Amino acid sequence: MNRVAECIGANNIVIKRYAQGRVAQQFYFDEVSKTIRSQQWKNYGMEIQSNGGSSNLRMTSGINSRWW
Amino acid sequence: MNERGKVLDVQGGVDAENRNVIVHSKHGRVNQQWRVVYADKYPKDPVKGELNEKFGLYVERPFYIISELPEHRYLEDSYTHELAIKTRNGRTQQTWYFDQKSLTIKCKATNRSFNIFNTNKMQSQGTNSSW
Repeated sequence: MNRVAECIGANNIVIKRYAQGRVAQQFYFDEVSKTIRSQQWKNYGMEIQSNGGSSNLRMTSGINSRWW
Repeated sequence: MNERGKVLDVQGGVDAENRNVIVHSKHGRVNQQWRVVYADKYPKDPVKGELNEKFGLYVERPFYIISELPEHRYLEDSYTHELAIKTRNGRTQQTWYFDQKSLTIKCKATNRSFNIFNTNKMQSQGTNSSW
């Protein structure tokens, strides 16, 4: 399989080789907040820094970025 | 797509291990294309004795690597990390297997993997390369 997105230390997101069962590579869509959250750090979701003004993508507990 | 019209983007389109993922305005090229695969539907890794189709090798199934030169010598791992061809001698230094965890070819005697050293020199080494 191809590389998959993985959370590094609950902050950065990179692509890495798939590893079976590694929850840092698993995400889920949270219907209530409309955010994509990490399966490993469930309080953390994908967020664009600077209120969406940046190109930096981070996982953060102050989720303010909605996806659909 | 994010509510601001941005999408996940592999930075610079470089398909490399640990490459950063950023967001970018949508342009639709391959570095912005993703597949969502549910974890419970993801194909299981092959286990011992099963074929890894991507690599074309069976997991942990011992094999020899035999030269097609006239004497058909066997590839052998020396304990000095050098690889050489030798006449078949039945030792496990001439026996190799595919390791699913590291995705490398390892020597049964030393458990060291194929490694590329100084661009074109082969040696066996602690696992840091995949095939």
